[in-house]
Amino acid sequence: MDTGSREIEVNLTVNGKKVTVTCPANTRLLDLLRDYLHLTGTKEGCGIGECGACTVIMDGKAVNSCLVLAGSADGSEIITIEGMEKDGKLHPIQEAFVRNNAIQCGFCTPGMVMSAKALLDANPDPTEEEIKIGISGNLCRCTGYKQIVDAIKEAAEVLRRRTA
Amino acid sequence: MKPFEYLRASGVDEACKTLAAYSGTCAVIAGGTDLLVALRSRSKRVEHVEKVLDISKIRDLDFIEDRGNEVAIGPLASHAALAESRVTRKYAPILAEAAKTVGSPQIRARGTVGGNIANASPAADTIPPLLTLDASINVRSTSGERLLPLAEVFAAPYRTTLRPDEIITEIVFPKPAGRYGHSFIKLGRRKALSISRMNVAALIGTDDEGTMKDVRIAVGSVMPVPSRVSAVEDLLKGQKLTDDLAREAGELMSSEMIRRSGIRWSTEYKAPVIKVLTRRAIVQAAKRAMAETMNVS
Repeated sequence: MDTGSREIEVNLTVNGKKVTVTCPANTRLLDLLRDYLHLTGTKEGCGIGECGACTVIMDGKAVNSCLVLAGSADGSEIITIEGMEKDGKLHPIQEAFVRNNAIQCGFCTPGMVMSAKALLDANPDPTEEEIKIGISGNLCRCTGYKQIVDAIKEAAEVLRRRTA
Repeated sequence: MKPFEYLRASGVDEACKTLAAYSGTCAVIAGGTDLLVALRSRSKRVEHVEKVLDISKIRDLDFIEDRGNEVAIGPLASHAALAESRVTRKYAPILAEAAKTVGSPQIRARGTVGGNIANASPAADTIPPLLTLDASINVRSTSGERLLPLAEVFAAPYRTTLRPDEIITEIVFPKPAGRYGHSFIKLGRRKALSISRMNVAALIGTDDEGTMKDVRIAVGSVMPVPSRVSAVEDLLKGQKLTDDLAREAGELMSSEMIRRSGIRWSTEYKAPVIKVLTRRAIVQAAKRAMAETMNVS
């Protein structure tokens, strides 16, 4: 039986790279990414799972990294906004965000992009309603939702054409 | 964040031993969507917590199974799994629909049905549907296993009758057999990511002529704990639904709420609204039951 500890060792794969982090037991996945791996693209907004700024993909699903204990992420595969570009080129979802001006202050953008990726990975041809549900856990206080929905629609098309 | 020690169990027996050893100071974490919020705000509810036992890696607790006359659900089944599973959609659409209204995709991916029960929020969305399904839960500790009706689990807001050394291992309910219709209505402050201000779950079984033979109605955020409302069920049982009867049932729900919860700051709003929600849920469930082609299980 485990007797418990205040320091834990977490082994996980982040953006395709295996990493080991030793951190206090009460560290959240969000803190592990930002403070230990210095992947500061993932943002903290509310810290209680309401705003989605901290959204990352964990084992294929969008999650609020502020509500995942670092220990619970042990053995998981995580993708953050830093893992989206390939060979110095933005991911089609990121390109579509840029083309559609789906960014104002930019604080919600990494979370929005990760929710969009989780959605399109599971459902490559979503309806507008499905897109809205897909990003329903992400708040944009600049309220540029229309451009974000348009960008995700366009990204879906680009990605479908690419796999066709 | 409140400091704590982290423990992880890889099996149910190990989890039970750990809980027995640290009973009273150890909180169980599964999806973490409620517990981490409480730990972060150093809520009174987690004042006693010195250790956190992670059960999220216990594979045996994550399932949704068709067991002939019953459906069995593991406590680690996520809200997303409840919403998408073929088994729940076929035999417990009321539960699948309720699970779909919980939080956001991110919350539904992590939050679990066992956590929804153990957290015992009066606003939990999966509990009223499970109450209408006559669900029971299996709980285990080092001293053995017991099966108890879900209706007996909730003691007070955020307090269950489970002992601190017990963990939920299974949620089971009989498949409704025959002509059944359901309705789950949730009223939140907005469509996405909202906590229920009130919710109503109605599961109604009728005969071919439309007489209501089996009426099960449960509400959330209306009573101190989520519960069935037998006064309203009894009013409808044996009757054919009319507009007047549905309205009367709504009024009775409203007076039952005041009787059990007392007059609160929210009563002025909730009393007229619960009337309407109850009426709508009953009408929708009864209509669906009549439209149902016999559901042979």
